[in-house]
This record gives sequence, structure tokens and C-alpha cells, in this order.
Amino acid sequence: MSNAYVDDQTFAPGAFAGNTRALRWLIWSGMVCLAILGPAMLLARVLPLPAATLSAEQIAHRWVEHKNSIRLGCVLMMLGISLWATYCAAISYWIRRMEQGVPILTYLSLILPGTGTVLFLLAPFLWSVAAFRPETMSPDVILALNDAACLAFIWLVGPFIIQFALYGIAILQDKSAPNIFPRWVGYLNIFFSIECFCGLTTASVKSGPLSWTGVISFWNVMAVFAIWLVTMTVTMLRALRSLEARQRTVSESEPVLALR
Amino acid sequence: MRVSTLPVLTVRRSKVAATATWFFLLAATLISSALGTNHGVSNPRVASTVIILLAFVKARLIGMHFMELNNAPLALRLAFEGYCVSVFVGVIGLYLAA
Amino acid sequence: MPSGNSRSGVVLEGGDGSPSLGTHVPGEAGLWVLIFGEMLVFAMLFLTYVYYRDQEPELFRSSQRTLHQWNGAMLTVVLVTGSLLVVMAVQAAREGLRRSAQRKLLGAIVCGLAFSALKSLEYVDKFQHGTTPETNTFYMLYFVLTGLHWFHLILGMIALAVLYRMLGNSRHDQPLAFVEGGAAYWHMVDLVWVILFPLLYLVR
Repeated sequence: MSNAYVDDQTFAPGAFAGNTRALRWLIWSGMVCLAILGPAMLLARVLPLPAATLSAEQIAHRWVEHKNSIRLGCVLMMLGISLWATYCAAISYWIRRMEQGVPILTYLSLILPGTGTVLFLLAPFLWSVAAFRPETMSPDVILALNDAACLAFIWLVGPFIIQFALYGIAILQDKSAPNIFPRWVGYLNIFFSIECFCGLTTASVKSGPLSWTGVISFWNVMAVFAIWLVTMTVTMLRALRSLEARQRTVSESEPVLALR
Repeated sequence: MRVSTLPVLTVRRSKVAATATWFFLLAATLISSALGTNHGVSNPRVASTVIILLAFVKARLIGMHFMELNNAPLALRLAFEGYCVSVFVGVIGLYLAA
Repeated sequence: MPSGNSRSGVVLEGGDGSPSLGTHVPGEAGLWVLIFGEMLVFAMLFLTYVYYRDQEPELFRSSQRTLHQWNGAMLTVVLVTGSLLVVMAVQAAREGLRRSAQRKLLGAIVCGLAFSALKSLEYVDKFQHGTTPETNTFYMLYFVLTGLHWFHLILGMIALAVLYRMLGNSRHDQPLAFVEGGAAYWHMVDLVWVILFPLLYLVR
């Protein structure tokens, strides 16, 4: 398998994968992210998101009443979402393995989660700002901050669409034998990329399935996200196990030639 | 010049089947459109039920003959048939419940 | 000479020409994750539409009357014809007739463009009457459903265009799975429309 990086032996077949323990931690950080986000969002009372049909007074009342649990929930959300970056770094490792030549897809897979993490963080940030002094703040301001946070959470999907599409493309263009990830995982990523478009109606629809509390624009997207994350985690762990097995075979049969 | 490096799939009747399906789809579209614009059946619920039924018959035919699921492994074919049946039941159920 | 004793009328020829009965996954297995996923999302949207219709049947009936049913029928005819061309393109590709397959793919893309032209005329007509997705629930669903479908049609046309280019590349033998896969995606778009059109335009 010819490679433009002539001396880049890191990814030659059977090459030593280096210390895989760190990679394992990165892969697991995705499940930790999900595990933290669930309770965190419940604490912050944003699972489901506050209905778009609520009045400014109702929203302000919620923030005044529950400001402490909202603050704590948002802190936990922020910490959980920070693990999104570490998880996507693990994915980038595998994208790099699947790519030949100039690693364009790898570059993109490094940049886009960075953008995504920042965008993801906007929601807990704005909710925390609203929870800073809700008693003295005008209800309209709190409503505006909540609207901004909810839209940031569901509507702001542009970079994510590209990110998942490129994951799909990278997995499907993988020419390794055997494939590093199963082909259907690539198609799942393409599907999720198109799924993200479901969030776009939330900027205009305020009630029903296409609003940010709706079955299609919220629950459906969250469910597919969870399925995607579990699938990718299991897939990466399997790929890592088979890589380590090959590595052991190589180092056992030719200890001198094991490449670092 | 060979396009495929896989074993050649020789489907004898599929050309006829595809064209026949196309004719049926056109005919069904004509009938549905006529029913949907107040021709033929006067009772709107009956007309609409027929329209919905025809819609899913058309969908199934597209899957079987255009997507070639009639030659697919059983699991895939059952998944598709199951989809057509359950979505039809859901739609017709909700419609008639109004 | 293939024998005709199989249930499905399909006989697979092995590499050495010997016939064997069997089944065939169109495209590749993984692709059906994507196709079924899309079909499920649209299924949810269909049910959503009927659910909303149940809440305000009169509103839906009166708004529906402003749709041009026969234009919708025309859209269906155009799309289904495109699908037939795609089927014929796949058959041509199987027989190694690249140019013929390319021509049929082009025909299907033209059908897709014709669909898009008719659809945009419909939208423009609506906007000129002051009807937008905000007007009422029916129109919101109408624009979202047909818009989402149109977006998928564009993806389908892109897939066909990619296949067209692939077939033009005579240096390599392309796996038939790609051609079948792109075709399957196009048919999915057609399938969705075939359910969408009656639901939106015809069901009273």
C-alpha cells in the first residue's frame, strides 16, 4: 500500500500501535460524556428543553426557582461536553489509519470537533448566564437567553453535518483489507449527517414534532446521537482489539523488526 | 467491456417487470389523482382510503421491482415489507380515527 | 443458458458460467442502514402529518384545495419515469454497456431536474399568493415535507452524477455494487414521494 508519507511507518500493516492505553481512555470518554450529559441536563431542567410556547414569565420563574440546580447542571454539562473533544480525537486516530496519502480527512476531523465543542458549549454557557442573577433580570432577557441556548443546542448543526459526513466518507473510502471499520458504520455516519437537518425547523416552528421539544427535531435526533455514539465506541474498541492482536503477533514472530 | 468483477447476475424477467411496474405506477397515479379530485367515488373517506392503499401498493412495487428487493435475502425483504405494512397501518389508522 | 426454475426468476452465474440459485443484496448490506434510516424518518413525518390533520381536518381540507393536484400527478409521473431509467441503467451496466447506462442515468437526472423545475414553480406560485410555512400548520408541514424530500432528491441526483462519472472511467472495472447502491438511494427518494404525494395532495 503506497503512501505519500514514505517514512511514515506508523500505519504500515502490522505496525506497532504504540501505547494503546491512552487511546482506550479517549474512546471511552464518549460514553462518559453521554453518561454525564443525561443527569446534567435533567438537573438543569433542560431535558426536554423548555417549551418554546412558554411565556417569558414562566421561563424566568423556572430560572429563579431552580437557579442552583440549573447552575450545577450546566457545570456538569460543560465538563461532559469537553469530553466530546477527547472522543473525537480518538475517532481522528482511526480516520488517519483509513486515509492514504495527504491526510485531508484527518485534518478536517481534527478541526470540526473543535468547532463543534465550542458550539455545544454555548447552550450551558447561556443557561448559566441566565441563572447568574435571574431575580433582578428582566424576564424578556431570560427568555432571549433561553431561546439562544435552545437554538444553539438543536439548530446549530452546520459543522456537525460536515463532521459526520466526512466520518462516513472516510470509513467508506477505506481501502484496507480487512476494513478497519465495518461498512455499515460508514453508512450510519452518512445517515446521522442527514439526520442533523431535522434540527433546522426549530428556528421557525414553536410547537409540535418539529419544534425543539418535538419528537422529530429533538427526541429523534438525541436518540440517533446516542445510537451513533454507542456504535462508534463499540466499533473503535473492536478495531483497537484487533490492532493489538496483530501487534502482538508481529512482535512475537519478529521481535527485532517490530516498528515503533 | 465488463463493468462488474462480480459474478454476472442474469435476471431474465426483470426488464419486463420494470416496464410493467412503471405502467402500473402511472395507472395508479391516474386513478388516485382522479379520486382525489372528486371524480368517481363520492364518499371522501372511502376515496382517501383507496388512495392511501394505492400509495403503499405503489411504494411496495418500487421496492420489489425497482430496488430489486424481490431477489434480496429474506431478512431485507421482510424488513421492507414490514415497513410498508406498519406505516400503512399507522397512516390509515390515524386517518380513520379523525 | 440460464435455467428458469427458480422461485424468483433469478439465476446467478458463477465465475465459471455454472448456474446457481441465490439471493442478491442490491448495492451492499451496509447501505440499507442508510436507506432504512431515511425511510424511517420519513415514516415518522408521514404519521406526524396525519396526526396534525386529525387535529384540524377542516383547515387541512381547505388549505389542500389550493394545491394543484394534477401538477402533483405530473411530478409523480416525472419521478417514476426517472426511476425506470435508473433501473434500465443498472441493467445496462450489468451487461457491460457503459455508454447506454450513462445515457439512461443522464435521462434520470433530467427527470430530476424537471421535477425540481415543476416544484419550484409550485413554491413560487405559493409565495406569490402570500403563502409561507408560517401561514398555518398544513403549509408548514407541506413546505417541510416537500422541502426535505426535494433535498433528498438533490442528493439522489448527485449520486447518479457520481455514478455517471464512474461509468465513464474506462480505466477501472467498477463494482456493480456502487451502481446498484446509488440506484437504490434514488428509488428510495421515489418511494417517499409516491407516499407523500397522495397524503399531501389527494387525501381529503
